[in-house]
Amino acid sequence: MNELLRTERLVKEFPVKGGVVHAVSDVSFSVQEGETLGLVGESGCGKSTLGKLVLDLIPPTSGRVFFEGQDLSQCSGERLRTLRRGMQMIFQDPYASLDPRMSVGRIIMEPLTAHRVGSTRAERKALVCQLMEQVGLRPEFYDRYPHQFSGGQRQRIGIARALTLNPKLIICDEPVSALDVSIQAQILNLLSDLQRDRRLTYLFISHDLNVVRYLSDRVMVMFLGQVCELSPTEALYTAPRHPYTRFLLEAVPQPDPSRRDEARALLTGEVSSPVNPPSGCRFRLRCPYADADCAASHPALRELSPGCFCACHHPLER
Amino acid sequence: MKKRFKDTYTAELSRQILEAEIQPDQGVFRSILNMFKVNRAALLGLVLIVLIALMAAFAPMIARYDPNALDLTSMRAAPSPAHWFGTDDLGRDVFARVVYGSRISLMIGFIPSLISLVLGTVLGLMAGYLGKVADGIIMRVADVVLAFPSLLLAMVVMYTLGSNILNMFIALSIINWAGTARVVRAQTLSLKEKEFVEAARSMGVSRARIVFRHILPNCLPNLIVLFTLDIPGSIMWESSMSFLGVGDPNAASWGLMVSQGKGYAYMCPWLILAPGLAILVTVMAFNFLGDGLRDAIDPYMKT
Repeated sequence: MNELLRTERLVKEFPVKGGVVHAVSDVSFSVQEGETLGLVGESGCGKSTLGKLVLDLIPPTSGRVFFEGQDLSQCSGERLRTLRRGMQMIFQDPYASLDPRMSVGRIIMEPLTAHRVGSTRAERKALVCQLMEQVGLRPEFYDRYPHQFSGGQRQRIGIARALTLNPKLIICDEPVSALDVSIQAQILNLLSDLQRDRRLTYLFISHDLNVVRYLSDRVMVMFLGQVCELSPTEALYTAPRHPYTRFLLEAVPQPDPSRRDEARALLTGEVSSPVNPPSGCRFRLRCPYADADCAASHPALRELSPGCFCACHHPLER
Repeated sequence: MKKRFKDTYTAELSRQILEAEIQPDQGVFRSILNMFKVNRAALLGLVLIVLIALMAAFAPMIARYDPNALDLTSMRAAPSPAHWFGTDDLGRDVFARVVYGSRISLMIGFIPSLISLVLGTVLGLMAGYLGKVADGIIMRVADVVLAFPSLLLAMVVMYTLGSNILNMFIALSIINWAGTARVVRAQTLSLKEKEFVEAARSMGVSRARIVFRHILPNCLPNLIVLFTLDIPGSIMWESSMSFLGVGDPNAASWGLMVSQGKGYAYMCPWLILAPGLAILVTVMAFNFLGDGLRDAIDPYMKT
């Protein structure tokens, strides 16, 4: 498998009154062609910021992003626009991410027009109708407006728009968290069908661990802008190595009522502020295993077993 | 896990959902039509505007006299079957002058409003979207214009350039564009942070395309309302300026008629009542229509 996307020591800091928000701190990872990398973490841990950094929608404070071996920070203008054809984004909010004054057909066609794909309007329209069918929208809806659709249908519009340029990488920024559960399942299945048919690569951002487990080949866990753990999905879910990952998994609601009484370790305390993160390991204030080492130095991301990376001074045993 | 998601997803189910959830069509034109049904004032405004426009278009057929023909045998005659609104101090028929004055006054209403609409929109989009230096320069100039008393500024322009109708358009455009620019800039600032603009950027859509295809169409409802409210504003400013004596002395606008008749206000009230009422009715008609349009378009944007 080839490496499609790589980030090197990405940092994003937002200046605020009285300090700096460390949204993303020193994040390096890579995504192979054809795989799905899940990205989980609690609200405000920098998941979405990371997604935007990868697309170069916001400039990084430092660090670099490579897409197909090309450094995005070295590209600008026309070359950046061409590179962007290869990576698209599906947004979290299907209400805000579609222009309310554009018809569905024109929304889906926009990437084609912007990149001058297809020589005639009729050719583009045929392509759009074909895409609409692929994502489960009837081509008769071509002239309707977004407000005439339900949330799930709008998300299908967003997916069709992301597919128009035949990208290699799609960044899914919480694509199902604004939808109710039955619609979530439809959209997730659509995404996995599309991945199979079009050999897509996903960077799938979510806070829903079940959803991430369903789609991902590997999962990356973030806490306060840093990577805690990066492992193949099954390894991470069955034998988490980082204490934070285990707490996250313990917090997933248990659907089996007979097992609800089992003791679960739940996290206590408040989320540390990303403005003044604690010294050393950022998780240490809430970690039951924390000691002097954790306060003194930040644990580096180490490969504990083949393919399983964890940033902890005291990783859990398998 | 995989089994559970697959079970709930069937082609049949999704087809049913697709068909069931399409909401009825509620376009912007439909909501404006509904507004006219509910909002009688807006409908009245529309009817009055149409009537005034027809009056301006067919002025020669409506008025029986030449508006500039002097008749020194019947000066300051009271309203009568021969002269419906009486005659002025030079014996000109006031009714004919009110009818012909609608041409000038509608032009005064439309042209400067159109100029300031275009100018304010372009400058507002530039200030809002480009930000930084462009924003600083454009908005400081707008602040200067807005900080000046409008009437004084327009009078200065008229004195400097000379009193004719063309300069009146220029003067009125200068005092009106700044307000439009401010509104458009504010809208642009909020729209450019919207997720659909970010989506367009992520797809590699060019800046010009984002401004003209996404931001401008979303400003449109406000621009329509601003435009309909600028029209009576311009008519009022022109009336004030003509009343104060800085208007075009040859353009028989309603404001000029009030100004020229004010010396005879006690003896011959029809000289100021007829053009005054014309101004009142026109301004009210546009205000009613503008209010109605604003109500009709805003809820649409919220849904």
